[in-house]
Amino acid sequence: MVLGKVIGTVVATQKDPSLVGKKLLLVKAIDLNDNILEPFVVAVDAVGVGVGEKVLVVNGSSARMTDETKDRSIDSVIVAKVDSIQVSI
Amino acid sequence: MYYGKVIGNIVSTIKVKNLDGQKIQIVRPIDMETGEPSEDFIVALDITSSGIGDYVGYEDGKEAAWAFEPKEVVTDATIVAIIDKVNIEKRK
Repeated sequence: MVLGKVIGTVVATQKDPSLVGKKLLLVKAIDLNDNILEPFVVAVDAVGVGVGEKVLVVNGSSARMTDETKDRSIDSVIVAKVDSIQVSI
Repeated sequence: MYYGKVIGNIVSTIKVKNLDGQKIQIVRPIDMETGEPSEDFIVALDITSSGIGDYVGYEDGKEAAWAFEPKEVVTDATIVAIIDKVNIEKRK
């Protein structure tokens, strides 16, 4: 899973029928000190988050294992909103 | 399987249903040759009961989800072993 921050939304009208009704969000990876890193993904939102929130993103074929993404053309999904991070080493 | 060290954990209340009850750990991958943790990190679920400071083996990709069979859990990284000891034979 990748730790990331939602930095924007994506709107697409012409798309695969399996993507109809799915919210697309632009997510940039962040490090443990909240610095925003360069890599970004467009991910489907399975939990209901907003711009600016810290999230966990699952990539690859595992992304289709939620009820919201099953059997759809999705390879990146937001699965959790991060409340807190504890790092002690 | 990859080799890493648990350095922390993440708490989340709002998440997809099939992640309920799962422990979310932060793991730094370790270079097998030097034994040094890298600067990078990944976020992984845990089927062992590893804690901060433990050396662990983790799977990534679709295989990470198979660790929870027959349950369907959405994950692309899972800690599947706690490493006790690593032996590396020195090359001549």
